[in-house]
Amino acid sequence: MSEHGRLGFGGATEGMHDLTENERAWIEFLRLISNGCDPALRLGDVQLLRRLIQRRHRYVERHGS
Amino acid sequence: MARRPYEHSRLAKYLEKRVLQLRPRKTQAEIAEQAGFINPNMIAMLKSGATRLPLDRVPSLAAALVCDPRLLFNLAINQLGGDTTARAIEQIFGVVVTNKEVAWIEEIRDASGHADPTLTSRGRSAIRGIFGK
Repeated sequence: MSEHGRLGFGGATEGMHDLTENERAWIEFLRLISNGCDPALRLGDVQLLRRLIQRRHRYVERHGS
Repeated sequence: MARRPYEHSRLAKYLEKRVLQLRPRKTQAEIAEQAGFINPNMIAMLKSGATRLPLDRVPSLAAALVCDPRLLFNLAINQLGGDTTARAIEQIFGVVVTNKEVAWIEEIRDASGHADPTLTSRGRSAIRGIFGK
């Protein structure tokens, strides 16, 4: 539990999470682009996210941020 | 004052779509009744943006719409205008995220090895592609 009494995923305050600024940016963009329709994560999305994030990870490792 | 002040709200757009999806199973009037609205036209009024969703109706309407109450809560907060209410809630409780959003965040964390990746312009383009935009 954090110092403010919030819990992580699946805790007593499920649904109200501490997100990083970057994670907030991802969620806010997702809400914007989906018109707030709460899209489910599908297999194709998982594959795309992994490709995207791993490509970025390799780039940062080679060139720095 | 505008006759439909919430016409362009995300909640009005969401309701329009969700009611259409549920049409084979229940009517608008049935959704209103299940949500505990006395006025059977309440869903039509919410869809058109003539009125906003009171926060105390979020749980019952979410049950009637078979959707995540956190999604509806966020949309109802968004209708309050400005972002001071949303910010106050966030400061006290953290960001309100739906179960589906948790799945996205967990995937991002997992795929990045918890490296907290930034959302780059390439990332934005890829997500736009997912939603055909």
